Amino acid sequence: MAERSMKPVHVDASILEEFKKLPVATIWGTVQSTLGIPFPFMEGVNLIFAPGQKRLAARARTLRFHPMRPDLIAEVRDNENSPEYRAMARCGPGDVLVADQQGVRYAGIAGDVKLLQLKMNNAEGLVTDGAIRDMSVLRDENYDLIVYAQGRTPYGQQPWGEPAEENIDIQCGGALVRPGDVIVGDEDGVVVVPSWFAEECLGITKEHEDAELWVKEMTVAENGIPGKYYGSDLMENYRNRDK
Amino acid sequence: MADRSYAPVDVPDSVLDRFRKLPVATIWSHVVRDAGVELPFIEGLNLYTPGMPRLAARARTLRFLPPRPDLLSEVRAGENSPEYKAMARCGPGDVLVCDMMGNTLACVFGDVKALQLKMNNADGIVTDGGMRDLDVMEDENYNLLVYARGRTPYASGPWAEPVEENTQIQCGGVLVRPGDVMVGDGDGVVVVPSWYAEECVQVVEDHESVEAYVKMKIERDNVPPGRYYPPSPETWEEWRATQA
Repeated sequence: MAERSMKPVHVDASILEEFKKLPVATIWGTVQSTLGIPFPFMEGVNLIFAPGQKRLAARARTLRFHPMRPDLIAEVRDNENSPEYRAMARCGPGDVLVADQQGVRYAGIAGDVKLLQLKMNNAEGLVTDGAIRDMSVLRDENYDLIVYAQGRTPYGQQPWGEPAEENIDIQCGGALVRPGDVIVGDEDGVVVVPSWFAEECLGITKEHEDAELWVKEMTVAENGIPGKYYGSDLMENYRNRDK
Repeated sequence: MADRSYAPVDVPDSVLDRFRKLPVATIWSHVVRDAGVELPFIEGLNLYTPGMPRLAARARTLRFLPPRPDLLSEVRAGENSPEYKAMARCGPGDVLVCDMMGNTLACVFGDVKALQLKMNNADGIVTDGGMRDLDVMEDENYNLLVYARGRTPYASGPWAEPVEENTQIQCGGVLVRPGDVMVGDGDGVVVVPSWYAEECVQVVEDHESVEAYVKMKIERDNVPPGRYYPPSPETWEEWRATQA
């Protein structure tokens, strides 16, 4: 771990595709145990909609909301150059908008009109610890965006959150998200993989999944109990399985 | 309101002294109505240092984020870490305001780090997280006002790391910008934008004075408050005459 570089890197689409085949639970285990990050999982952020059941694995493009105030609004609102549009402009295929809405359950981050920009850019979707509004419209008009949020809402941003900053470090659901991190989601929820750990994470997680598969096969074959192979020595048992 | 400047200003101690005599409830209503700030009250805070003078101080801000090895390697710098830089900005009339992401279990720091605030004679700490070591700080006369969402034995880890200071933050769902005035009483804490502070203190003083005049009339005439409250334009004129 000492020699691992922690500089952000661009994660290729090929790696993202591999992440889509792996469960969030195992990825969480890898990030947590290998890097010692206590909370890489976004608590309370649920899968709202996945078009065609497709999985989320995409690079984070970040947006931070602040409580509204007239002086802040005077500084940051700039029509089509406002932070929310600049953030969405960074999102293309393989990218997901991650919005820090300060964990406010019913504060919407955007609806179908603003999110047209993500649709037109063919972005993967959006993740927020706030809420999504107009979800039915996104679905009916085939926006093709994967949506994770605390929940759905009819409310807009007011009065809780003004999109104030983009392309910076944020928290979302209690997890740190830095621009370019890999955001992986399934029905368990969303885990954040630091960009500089993505490739290594893939290798470790795949081997762990292989080991789990082996344990399940052995348990059934021997009519045994999972604990025989499935303990803290799991990987050792797996690697020595033919010896 | 249209011609009001939003440029931050350094609020003088004389204005803070006036705020200390005014109720948070009335300040809250004027910040909402006159300054156009919809949510200026920090919800869920408790005052953990009763018996101390009232809070009215300039905000010095500190932002926490979830820790991660790359982030820690960038921000931790011994005595130059963000929390110490933030506290170095706090003297008399200043309060440290922390964005703990609303995590009531996580504490900004305990009595050892808070010694810097004590030594600087700062006014106190406001956080939307928890607070530890309060007994020690009381026993050792830290003389700091503390508003927090709960008491906790935990430190900031594993939930939070101080990463930025002197920036705009949220605290309990309220925007706090450096230099804003934090006013607290038993109701809680309201945030007054620095550019509105001087105007606010005058308006609220007048409001309180009118209310005292109305209460006097209600008791004197032995009538329900609705007779004179809210004050009509005529009552306002009467009150103004008493001020001349």
